[in-house]
Amino acid sequence: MDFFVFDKYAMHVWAVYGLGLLLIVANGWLSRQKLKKTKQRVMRRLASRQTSQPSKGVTAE
Amino acid sequence: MMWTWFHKLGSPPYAYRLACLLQPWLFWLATALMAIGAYGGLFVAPTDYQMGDAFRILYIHAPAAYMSMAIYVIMAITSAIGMIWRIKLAFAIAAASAPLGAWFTALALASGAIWGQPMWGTWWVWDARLTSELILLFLYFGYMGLRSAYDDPNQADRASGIIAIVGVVNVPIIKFSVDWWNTLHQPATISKLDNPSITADMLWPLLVMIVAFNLFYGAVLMNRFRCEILNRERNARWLPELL
Amino acid sequence: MTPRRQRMIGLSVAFAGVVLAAVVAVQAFQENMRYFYSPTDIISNAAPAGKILRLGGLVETGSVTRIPGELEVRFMVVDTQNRIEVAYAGVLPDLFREGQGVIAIGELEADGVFRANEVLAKHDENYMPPEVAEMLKEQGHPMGESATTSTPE
Repeated sequence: MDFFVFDKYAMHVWAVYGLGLLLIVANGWLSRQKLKKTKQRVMRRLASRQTSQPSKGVTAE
Repeated sequence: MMWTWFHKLGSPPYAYRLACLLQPWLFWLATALMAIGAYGGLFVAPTDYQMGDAFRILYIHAPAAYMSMAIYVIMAITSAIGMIWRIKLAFAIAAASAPLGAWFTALALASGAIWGQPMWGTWWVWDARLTSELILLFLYFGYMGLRSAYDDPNQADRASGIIAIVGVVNVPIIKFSVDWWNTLHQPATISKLDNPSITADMLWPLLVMIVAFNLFYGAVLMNRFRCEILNRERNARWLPELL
Repeated sequence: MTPRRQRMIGLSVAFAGVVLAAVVAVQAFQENMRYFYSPTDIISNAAPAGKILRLGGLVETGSVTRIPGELEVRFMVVDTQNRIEVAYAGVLPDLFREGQGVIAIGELEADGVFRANEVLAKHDENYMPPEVAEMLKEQGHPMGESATTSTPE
């Protein structure tokens, strides 16, 4: 397939598309990971607050 | 009455749910369009008469450079809205945008270097376009660095908002650097939409890619925006209902 | 005045100040912002003399000559009014073509020849497939002019 044999610039083209793919995958993954961790932290906080002060809904830091 | 939707958007639980709802749509649409755009750019578009296959770098380089500027403008506008109307969620959008903006800037610089090396004969020159784009990267770093220096998101908003608003001056400098000064970088190809300096069979993958990058930004923004809401509203009464 | 209006005005004034400062700074550094000088700039002494500088223009069609057995290549760099001869010994970038933009980095010598240590190719904002370039050339369109002239041997 002459599809995959670009001229002598093939390396440059694939390097750039590779970097593009890396950006997409990395940012998709990182943002999801951050959301997961933030959720866990908030849940832990809620849980510990409920055990220490079962009557109050809102507490100051 | 017209503004009810606007006020609704300003309500964190509503915005949080909206972000949940939109995120998968944005993400999958972006992925599909990116696949189409990359296929078009790599295999469908004909080779360029001067640059051969190396011109295919355009389909990553130009959308990344465009996003790097667009995201910064969004950060400046939302920061200004946040400061003037005291809307915390506007700041949240700015803060949630910065990391991806920095990534796009880095990609624009890296892909430009890889493109410039065989074409121009150099990886890097200190001309006005390349230098101002590098300054943009440092502005993103400055914005994120300053934010991380504060524990309180409200203080971080105010301090980093200044960087976002002041730094936006750099964006028109990047955009018009190729017209105002002579640079190694060439002028814009599709600044004039009626008659772009690119043939239609080469143009469409570029437009698809630009739309795809925008949607991808939206998808990442929705995730990071939810993190910002969770961090800012950690004491809110409605928080347990959301999780 | 409502506090919101006050903030709006304050922010606008501050922003206007920053824009003004940027305009002044850019004006002050105008000379440094310019990446290269045209042949006319150099001939009319607008460029700093006796320093390494960058000469930019088009490679005149038919002006590229090589001395047999040597690495050195000579060509004319032109703008709309003037031309300067450039001598360069080294590897030329792939986009170096007659009729295309080029930037030579080096010094103007006493004999009026610009001796370059480095040559960069500049490309324009036009993208098209070879067939379209060919067609434009046949129609006598200026954009297609350099389409088929490749680097001379």
